[in-house]
Amino acid sequence: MYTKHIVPIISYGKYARVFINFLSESSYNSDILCYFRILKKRWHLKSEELLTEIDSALEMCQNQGIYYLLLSNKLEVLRALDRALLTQQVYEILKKEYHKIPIPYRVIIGQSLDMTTSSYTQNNLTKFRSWSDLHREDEVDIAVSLKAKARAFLKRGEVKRASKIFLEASEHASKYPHPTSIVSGFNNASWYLRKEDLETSYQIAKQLAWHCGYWFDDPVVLMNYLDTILVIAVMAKAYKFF
Amino acid sequence: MLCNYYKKLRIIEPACKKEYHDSIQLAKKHFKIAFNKGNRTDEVANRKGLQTFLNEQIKIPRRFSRIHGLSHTSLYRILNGDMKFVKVETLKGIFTALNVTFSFKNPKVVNHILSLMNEKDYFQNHWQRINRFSAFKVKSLFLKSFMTNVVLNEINLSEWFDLTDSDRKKLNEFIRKDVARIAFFNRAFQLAFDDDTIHPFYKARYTLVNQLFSEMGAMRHITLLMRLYSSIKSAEKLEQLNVYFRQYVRYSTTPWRFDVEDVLSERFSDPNYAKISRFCKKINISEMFGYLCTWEFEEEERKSFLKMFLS
Repeated sequence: MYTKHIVPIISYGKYARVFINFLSESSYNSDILCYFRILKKRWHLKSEELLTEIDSALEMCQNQGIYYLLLSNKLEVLRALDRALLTQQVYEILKKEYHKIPIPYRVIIGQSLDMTTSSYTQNNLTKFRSWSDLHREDEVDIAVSLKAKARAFLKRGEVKRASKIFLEASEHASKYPHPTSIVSGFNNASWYLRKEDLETSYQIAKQLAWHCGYWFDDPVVLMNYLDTILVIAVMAKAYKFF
Repeated sequence: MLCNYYKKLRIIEPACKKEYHDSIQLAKKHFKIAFNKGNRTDEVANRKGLQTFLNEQIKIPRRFSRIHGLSHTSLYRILNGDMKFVKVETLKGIFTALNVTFSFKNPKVVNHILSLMNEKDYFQNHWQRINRFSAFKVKSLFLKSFMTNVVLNEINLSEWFDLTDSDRKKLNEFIRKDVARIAFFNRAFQLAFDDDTIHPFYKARYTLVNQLFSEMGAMRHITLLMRLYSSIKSAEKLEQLNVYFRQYVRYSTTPWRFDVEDVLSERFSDPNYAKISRFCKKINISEMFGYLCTWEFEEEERKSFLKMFLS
């Protein structure tokens, strides 16, 4: 298996876990194995130890594509740990060296940069890019971009519009399908709308519950979304939905 | 939904407890727990909340007990807290007379009793319909419901299957004895025939299970699956099976944007492959996706899953 062939697999996010578990046992490429190990740890818990592990993997890495994937993983861990300065540094490196990233890896790394600009409010990061035709073909990339757009509306206080765009993002993610993006779209749409339009928020929460049941089994993952479902059920006085 | 997930929340791994503290508190506040004496399910503790609730609803106890044929002394002792534990049946009588409905404002014990009343009524109203079905159809309903469930340790499928095959009257008595069994029976019925009353979370899971059963098709394949489920006693292992089959439907129906066959080309060198493939053929599911989904589990967990799956 060529290293670049892992890109369409990992683009499904955590949903690709069974493939990654299989390939972790059947692949002999040390760069791929190291990347899979880090990816699985990142899905489980973003920690300081993981950052150290990514740094040592970056030093050992021979493959250019995997190197940038590792760097984008580092960016996501830093963002989750709220390490503002380092986040900005890694973001700038990836942005500056974007042209050096092998073509098959660009879309997925671009998504990571897009998510950083939209969700990280600590610093004023310069916007990553405008769309190219290559990116438009990818439903997950469209979903990421729509989420960034929705967050911009949220910042301006336009909650209803933001909620609508979050739902659009879910629709695009469903076409892929990318379960984490599908569910997080419904989750955000319902959560932010709850104070402005409880009835619509409640209807979206029902769809959220359906998608949680369809796509996820792990109770720890479900906890994130259960919180939204519980709070909205209480607000809507929908005891049976509780 | 929450009543099931609350049980999971309580045993969530410690690392996540802090992160989900608010959800756990919210769940605790509303979860339908009855405070039983020595875990008895026919009594609940007469706490302040219940007393206040009843005192607000019953303005003139003497008149209320006379109109509804309740013992005035018992009612008085409940209202002023002299009775520390109250029979569920007594409260059911009071709530029926008061026409109480579900509300987040009710003390959770009130909602708990209301839920017991609803479940019992639902069971009585729908038992006859299920009772007319063949043993295979009833067992399929039970298995589908089990594969949709969150909490598995309250139901022993093997007992349910045996009684369905041997004696329906005994099955009815067996179900009526336990609230968890009544709820399980009702869920099985609702999922199949009354899905407007089902939480969307379970509806989605049921969609997956239905797809699996459609693919398996013939009775002989589904019977094998029933045998597999009834041979396993551990709730943890049954959960693994449920996850495996749900993942199977998800993965086998996803239009992947890469060649799955190509990615899994090394699968034939797995020493377990032949056995997994044989089992998949027996239950009539795709060998490739059936094999792939065994990778839902890693290392020791996969070994133990395969041991159970292929036993």
